[in-house]
Amino acid sequence: MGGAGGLRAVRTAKAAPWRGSPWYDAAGQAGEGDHPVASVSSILIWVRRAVPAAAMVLAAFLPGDLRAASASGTASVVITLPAGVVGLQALSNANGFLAPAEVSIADAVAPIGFSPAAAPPPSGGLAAAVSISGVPNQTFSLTLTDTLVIVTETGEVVVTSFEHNAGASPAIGGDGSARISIGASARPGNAQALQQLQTQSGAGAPEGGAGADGPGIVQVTVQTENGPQVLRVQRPDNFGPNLFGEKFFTVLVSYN
Amino acid sequence: MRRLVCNATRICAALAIAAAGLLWAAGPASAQALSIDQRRDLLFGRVGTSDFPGTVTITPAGGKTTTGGVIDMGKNHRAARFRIEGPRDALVIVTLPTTATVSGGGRTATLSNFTMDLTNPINLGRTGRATIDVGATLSLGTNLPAAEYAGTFVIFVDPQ
Repeated sequence: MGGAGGLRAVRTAKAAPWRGSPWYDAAGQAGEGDHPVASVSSILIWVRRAVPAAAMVLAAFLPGDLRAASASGTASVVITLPAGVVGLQALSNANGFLAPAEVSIADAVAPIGFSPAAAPPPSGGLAAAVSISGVPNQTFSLTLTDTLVIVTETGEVVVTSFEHNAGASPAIGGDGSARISIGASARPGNAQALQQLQTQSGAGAPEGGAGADGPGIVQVTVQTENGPQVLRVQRPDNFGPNLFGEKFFTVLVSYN
Repeated sequence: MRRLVCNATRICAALAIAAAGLLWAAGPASAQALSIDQRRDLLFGRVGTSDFPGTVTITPAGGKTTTGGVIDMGKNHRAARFRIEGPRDALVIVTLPTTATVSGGGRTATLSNFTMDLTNPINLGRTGRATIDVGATLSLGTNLPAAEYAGTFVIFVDPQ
């Protein structure tokens, strides 16, 4: 007894109801008499034994034991060369003059092919030409203006039925570009307000033909409620009458 | 008196051990580590750049918007999706990255403003699972070369 330090001394000092408890000595014999110091130490021993063991088990189930986790995500973007559209040639009938009767510019003017460009038609009218750039071999859709109203000093012309020669499934060429032609039909606008407009560029010009009163002056025949009347109009430049309001049409290119 | 104290101490210790034993018996159903896995990539789809810088944003709901000179060219965009798993009814905190980088075509672009559809703390509920959708904003420079740009970002999940 008492040969192995404090712990040994405590175990041999006290009696206790449970064998193996601190109140029994190494041989399982109850100690003799009370020993206050040994009692306190015994409690500490039990605490030292039980609490850590319980804590270890309990700790495994507490939220604090949850370990953080992480995940690597992937992000991507495809950057594409956007389509570009550049107008090469305006849509026009002969010399910018507007025909008195409805005429299909597209019919009168053969659209220019992709490549090589077709020669301008003999009628003098020209289809519009646009160049499209973008991703090589990319198919695209074309959306054209539905209706365009051109107001001049003396008349109103409605341009409609825009069409192109790119086909049903147009695609940008392998070099990243394409060229298409666009035609349309023109017809007179509101007859009551602006009547038809006829230029002197063709035959049948009344009273001596074009430019009778000097350069830049043209005579036009206007259909009024009182019948045809001839008016003299100052032509502002060599390219046709002044245009007001809308005179641009839209070519929208979108990748498929 | 001393014996009473001793007995009380032993009883407490025994109860603690018994409680631990009970938890141990019920253990596997409730004791796990957290995990998070990506289920879907974050895809910005197809965009075009121009002479002006700009951004493209994917919201957690999958919406796509562009600003500045960036042109939305549609196609195949969606938010990232992650699955979190852990103990039943656990509350977790998800930490999104501040920035990340995607690269391609010899150039780079920056991801920022990561957002998710759930709010911290996230309750894993009775199933012990939660799914989060994550969006971000991609800042693009001018006239970037056409290419696929890709990169990674890291998301952390911690117990509250």
